[in-house]
This record gives sequence, structure tokens and C-alpha cells, in this order.
Amino acid sequence: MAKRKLDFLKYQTLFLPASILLGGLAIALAIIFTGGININKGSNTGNVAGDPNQQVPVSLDDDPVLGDPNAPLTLVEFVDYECPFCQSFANETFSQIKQRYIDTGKVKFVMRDFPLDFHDPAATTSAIAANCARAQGGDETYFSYHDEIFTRTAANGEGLPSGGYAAAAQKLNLNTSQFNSCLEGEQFKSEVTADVDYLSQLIQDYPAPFSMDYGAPTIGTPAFFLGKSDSSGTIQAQFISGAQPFESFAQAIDALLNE
Amino acid sequence: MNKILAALKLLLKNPLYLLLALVITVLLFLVYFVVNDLSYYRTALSLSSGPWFLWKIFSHHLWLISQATSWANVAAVGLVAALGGINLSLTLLRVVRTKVFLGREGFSSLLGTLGGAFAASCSACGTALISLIGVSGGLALFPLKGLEISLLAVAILSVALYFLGKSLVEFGIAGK
Repeated sequence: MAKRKLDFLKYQTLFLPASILLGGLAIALAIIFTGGININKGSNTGNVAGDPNQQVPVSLDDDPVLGDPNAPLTLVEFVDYECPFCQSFANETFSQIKQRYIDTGKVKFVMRDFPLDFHDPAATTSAIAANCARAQGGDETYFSYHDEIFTRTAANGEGLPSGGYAAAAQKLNLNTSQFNSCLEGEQFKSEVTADVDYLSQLIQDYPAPFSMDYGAPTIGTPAFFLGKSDSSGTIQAQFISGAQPFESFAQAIDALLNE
Repeated sequence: MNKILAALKLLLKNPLYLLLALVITVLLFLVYFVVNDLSYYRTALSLSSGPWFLWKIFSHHLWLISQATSWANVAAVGLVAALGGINLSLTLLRVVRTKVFLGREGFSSLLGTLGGAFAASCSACGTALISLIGVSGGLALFPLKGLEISLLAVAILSVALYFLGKSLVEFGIAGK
């Protein structure tokens, strides 16, 4: 009994630090779930950190487009060809979006590059390869090559098996020597890098929708932007984070179509 | 092992604490995944908050992780959540019966429960909780894609449960 009393007194001293620790945890969780700390990084946007509905201007650049160029809505994806979640989106969800919204002329789909450095060099190589395919066959070929990459890649930076890029080009009846020369010469590397720089700058200039993960503006792939089409080549877009299920895209697209 | 069994038997004999363990398990499982993918869930919540829609979002998240890693990774996170639930519920039982708040297992129980949060993954590359501690490549950089962290958390929580069981036996609350 006396020993238990001693134990109790010994453990009682832990009560205060444990309470502080648990209290700290509760506060940390509260900050996380309420949208993070406002870290508005000196931009003049007046954004409120962590607002997922904050619209941001997103340029379509001269990147590949799938669907009717006059479609009322535009969906932009920033893709990393080595990201397994981009792969899941491409192999599962994208076909549903294409069938219901792109093929029916409601949405045009624009693909931009965002290879993550920890998936390189495979991620950048794949992005360049897709652009090399586009150089030969246009946007439709780009998207066919995109499908080929995601069917063939082991993802997470492991890339395609040896000869995979050329085999995919051959399957699409591209000129393989021209394709290989383009890929080996990294002909479109600056194009890919420009996309990465663009998105990196965007999240600094407009941190609000990207400040939902632990307070700091961060972005992962796949990253989507949905907005009304604009002849200026820049859309005012809502950020859609991650490989959401088809239902999320349908909700967002239908809501915008009904406006 | 006997001490762990004694703790589990005690839990089974106390339906209220068993229910509490189940509730904590479910909550921890949800938190482990949600905390790794806040932007995914906040995007979803900005679109709809219907229960069916949110269930679809969560189940899709689990499916994505199973595709990027394996179902074993998802199950391991579930096991961490279950052990966390059992530990917390039994700790509360001991507090109520003995007024002793923390024992030898307190720190490891907390460590294992928090560690579980790092074992879950997200639905986008580059935004998981583990990036907070400098692992920018996320769980993809681990050979078992984060299963290592789950197993470590399971080991820590099992040790915590052992000491908790021992303490409950010593206090005469659980049978030997």
C-alpha cells in the first residue's frame, strides 16, 4: 500500500507536463483544422490563409489542350508523371471526366507539368517525352502518350523500363529516331521547368488556397484548377487538391456550369 | 504477453470502456488520414458536406493509398489506431479506479499514438505530414512505403499495453 502511495506521488509529478503536452496537441490540432496560421507572404492579394474557395489566376500558357477549344469551362492539371496519385487519377477518374464533360464540349482540359524533384530524373524525362510526342503529332498525340506513360511507369521515380519511351512512341506510330533525338537532347526541358517555376511562383503570390497543409503554402500533385474559359488565356480558377474522386470534379463542374 | 491478455480481458469485461476504445480507434483512424491530407479534405468540404459524399471522399482516399502502397499499409494504420484506442481507454479506466494518471507506459503510449499519424499517407505527392520533419519525398522514399513507421508504432504501443496491463494487475484491477 505504501509502495502504491509512493508510485502515485511519483507519477503525480508527470501530471503537469502531460497536461501541457496534451493541451499543446489540442491547440496544434485546432490550428491545423481551422486552416493554419495566417502567413500571408507579403503579397498584395489580401488573401486569407487557408481559404479553399479563393480564386487564383491561372495561365494556360501554350500547353496541350484536350476537348472543344470553345468549351465554357477549363480544367487545368499540373501533373507529375511519376506521382502514383496522378497515375490513379489518369487511369481511373480521368476517363469519367472525359466521357461526361470533355467529349460533350462542356470542359476543355489543359495539361501542365509539375515534376517533383524527389521523383526526378524520371519525372522530368517523362514530361519531356510527352512534349516530344506532341511536337510530332499535336495535342491529341500528347494525350495518347500521356496515357502510355501512366500505363507503363512503375511510378515513385522508378520510371519506365529501359526502352519504354521509344516503345510508347513506336506504338503511336511516331518517328522514333526523331523522337529519341528530341528526348536525348532534352528539347523541351525549359518548357517543363517554366511550368514548375510558374506554379511555384503562383503559390507564393496567392498563398490562400495552398496554405491548408500545416500553415505554409505547399502544393502536391496532382493539382487542378477549374474556372470559366477566358479568351485571354488566363482563367480565374478554383484550386482542387489531390486525386479527388470523380464525384468531387462533378460537383465543382456542375456548380460552375449552373452559375 | 499475459499482461497484455489481462488488459484485453479487462477491457472486454467493461463494455463502457470497450465502446470508448472503439470510438477512439475510429477517431484516430480518421485523424491519421485526414491530418495527412488537409487540403484534399478541405477541397472536398468546400464542394459538399453530405455524409455520402464525405464517405466517398474518405473511401477513395483509402483506395488511393492502397494503390500507391498496399492494403497492408492501410491495415497497419488501422492496427495502430486500435492499439491507441485500447491504451487510451484502459489508461482512463486506471485513472478512474486509482487516480494514477500516468505510468511507465504513458510516454510510449503517447509516442506510439502520435507516431501513427506519420504512417498514413495522402492523396497527393509532396504534402504528407511526414514532410514536416524534412522528408520531402514523403512515404514513397521508404522501402515499405511507410509500413515501417506503422510497425514501429505497433511495437511501441504493444510495449505500452504490456506495462499498462502489468500496472492494472499490480493494482488488482485486472486478473493475473
